[in-house]
Amino acid sequence: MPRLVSARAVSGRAGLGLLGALLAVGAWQLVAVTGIAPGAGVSPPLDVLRAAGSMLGEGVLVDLRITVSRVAIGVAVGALAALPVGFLLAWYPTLRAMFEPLVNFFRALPPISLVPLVIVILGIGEGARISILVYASFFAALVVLFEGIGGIDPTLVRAARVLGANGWELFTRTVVPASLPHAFTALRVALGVSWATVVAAELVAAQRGLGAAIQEAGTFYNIDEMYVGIALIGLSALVMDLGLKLVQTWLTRWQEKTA
Amino acid sequence: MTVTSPTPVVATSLPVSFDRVGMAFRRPGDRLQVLEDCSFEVPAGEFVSVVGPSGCGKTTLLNMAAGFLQPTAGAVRVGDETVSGPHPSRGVVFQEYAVFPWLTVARNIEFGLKLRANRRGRSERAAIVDHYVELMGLRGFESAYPKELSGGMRQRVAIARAYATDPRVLLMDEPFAALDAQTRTFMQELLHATQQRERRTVLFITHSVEEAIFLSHRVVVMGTRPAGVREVVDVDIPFPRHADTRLDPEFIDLRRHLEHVLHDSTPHQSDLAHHSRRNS
Repeated sequence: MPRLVSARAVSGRAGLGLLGALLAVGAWQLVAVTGIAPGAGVSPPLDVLRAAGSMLGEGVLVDLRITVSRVAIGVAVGALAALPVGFLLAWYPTLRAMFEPLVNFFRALPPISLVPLVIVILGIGEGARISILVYASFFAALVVLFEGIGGIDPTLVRAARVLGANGWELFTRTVVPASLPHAFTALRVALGVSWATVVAAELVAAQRGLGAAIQEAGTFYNIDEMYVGIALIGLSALVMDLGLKLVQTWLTRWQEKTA
Repeated sequence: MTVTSPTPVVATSLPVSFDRVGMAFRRPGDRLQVLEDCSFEVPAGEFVSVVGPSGCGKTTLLNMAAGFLQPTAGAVRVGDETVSGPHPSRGVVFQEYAVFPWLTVARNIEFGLKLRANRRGRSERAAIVDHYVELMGLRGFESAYPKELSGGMRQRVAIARAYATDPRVLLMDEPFAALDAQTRTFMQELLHATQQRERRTVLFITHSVEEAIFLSHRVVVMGTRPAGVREVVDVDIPFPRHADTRLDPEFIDLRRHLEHVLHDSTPHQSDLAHHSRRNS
């Protein structure tokens, strides 16, 4: 029974999401045909779709794949590195007191402001672009992680200790599973930040990638193609987040929903 | 002195003794005496309840027995050993249940048995889990997650988990306080029945005089100002006890007596008003 209800709720929500998207496209169409927006900045949806079709032949999928893999590597490396650091900062109050202000300092820096510096230090290769994504993912994930891990119910830790758990068992059998929901939240936040940063990263002399494609389209005043690039970034972010959310829901199905 | 039931005591059970225990918390320029000169004993295989008003330090007593806190005076002993830190030989049941939400009922009960401190083989683990699933009425819920269970059932999982590692002593910190009245009565009877089958040393903290009498061989009444033991009363009501026992004249007499002891030790409203007037 419960599964049935939740399945219906899920499909109902997906349907509503689709309806919202359709409304947005409708509004877009309206703005485009009435011409109430200044200049030539708004292409009608169908033109953009047509442009997308012709771009498929010109290798936009390669750009998509390159950008997606940059984001994936950035998130994977950044969030993975944040994991042990997050545990350390959550577990040792002294360390946290020492480094929390620093973490907030670095997290607050807009990654795009680092681009010139990164070029000076790391040059204009792929490593430079990835490093910006790693940077952004790391600090975004870290803050979520240590806030979450620090908030683990202390009674659960006590319960494990009186049952006989030693330090390592306490960590692997209590702290890690209790942190799993926070780890996923951290991953999803890092993914969002990474997508928001990827265009800035591709300002570093990238030849391919969606960011590079948007810039190129801009240079040649191909407004339809600019829209295609922008939409592809949004769609990829949406799909990747949805995938992560599905895995999270399955792995933390024991979690009580507070709704 | 105490009425003992015919059930044999679980062989590994040990007595707990509080020997002139005191607890003071230091605050800047101040000293807060939470407990003073507390002495009483929980004999091996007996069920002893501690009742008292909020803030009398009864949970502090339990935390010292569990090893979460060190007394600032005196000592808590289990058998011949002075308690110096948490140990699996002393099982704890918390008021907030503290079942692991990511583990099923069976895996929660099994948790302690997979740790190095008291690891058992696979088949032995399965047998122990099965035994306590049966005893605690959890049959059919073995693979359910805690979020699917009521408060009473979660606490049954926590009790089963504490029993499973075969502790020398069980410490229960107001385990039924968060439950509704009906569930509470049911849980008292379930715990009592369990204790009839497997007599273990239990130190039980509660607000409720009725609960204390129903379950215990002995009741320790605590007071505030000074925070310490008011009175220790043996409950001379034969085991096993039933729902009707609560209506026996001797049960009611004892309840009346203990309520009096308890309320005489609570600061009166007029007392407090007087005190604050003097301070202003």
